[in-house]
Amino acid sequence: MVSAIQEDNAYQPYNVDLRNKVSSNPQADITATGHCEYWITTIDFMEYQEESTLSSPDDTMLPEVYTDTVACIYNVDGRCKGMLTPKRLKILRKAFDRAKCSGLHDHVQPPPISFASDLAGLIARKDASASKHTNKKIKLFRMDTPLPHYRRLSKVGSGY
Amino acid sequence: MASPLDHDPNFHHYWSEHPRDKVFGANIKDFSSRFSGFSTCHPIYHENTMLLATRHAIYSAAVSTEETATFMLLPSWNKMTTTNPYASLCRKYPRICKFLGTTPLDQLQYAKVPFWNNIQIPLSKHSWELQIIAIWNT
Repeated sequence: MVSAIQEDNAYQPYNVDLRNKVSSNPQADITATGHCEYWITTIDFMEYQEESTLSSPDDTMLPEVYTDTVACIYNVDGRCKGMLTPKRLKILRKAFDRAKCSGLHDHVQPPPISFASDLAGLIARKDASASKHTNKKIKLFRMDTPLPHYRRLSKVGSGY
Repeated sequence: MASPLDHDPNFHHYWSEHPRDKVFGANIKDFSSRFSGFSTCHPIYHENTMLLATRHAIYSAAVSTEETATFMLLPSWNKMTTTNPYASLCRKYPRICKFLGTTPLDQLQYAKVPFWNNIQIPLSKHSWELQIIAIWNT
């Protein structure tokens, strides 16, 4: 796979399909444990650079690296599927526990296996949602027919 | 209208588009119940979603017998907001929709994204202002 990239040209446009086959955060991957996990750990990151600030592909300048403490979310295969700030992890943990205590989990299918597995699912949904909103062509609606529900309810005189 | 990943925990209730987010306490089917009482609505910046949210807020205020005020936070892509579908809709109902003001570009700050799947990409510098529109039945 790597050789194919090198032959074509490493600066080809971003290939999402190919990218999804490899780990998003290989530096954070762990040995597979067979179930979803989350680890709060210290990870090295490359500083994000906007394309406009990059010079030519021949530029040999190395990216800036920084270290941060994050919560890594792992799939069953040990691959890091996403990261959260520890603060957000705490918020999610509280929300999860509160929902469980209030019985919200009882009606969810399939039933939650663990907090970690639903975290992994949450990351996956967010990816899919971001992709949908990015790719979907925005349609503008005619504004001369607003509030069809309101007109309909006015006719029958019922509540909402 | 948020995700468990980015909702503000200071709000007791939030709505998500994914049914599974119930495990994190989210309400789902955001337009299946009326907006009631005092609330803030900051929809995702997707034209159709913002239009639907505005329409739903107008509808909720129009049919509700209790005091209802929804404060819509909507981006103004440029100074001439006449092209925004939701702005056009608000102008059609001047008794219900009251334009309160605009948060200027230089005073508008978004929270940092608390999650990422690959590299921490900061939000790009925004180039819009944020309109505050009260949709109420006073």
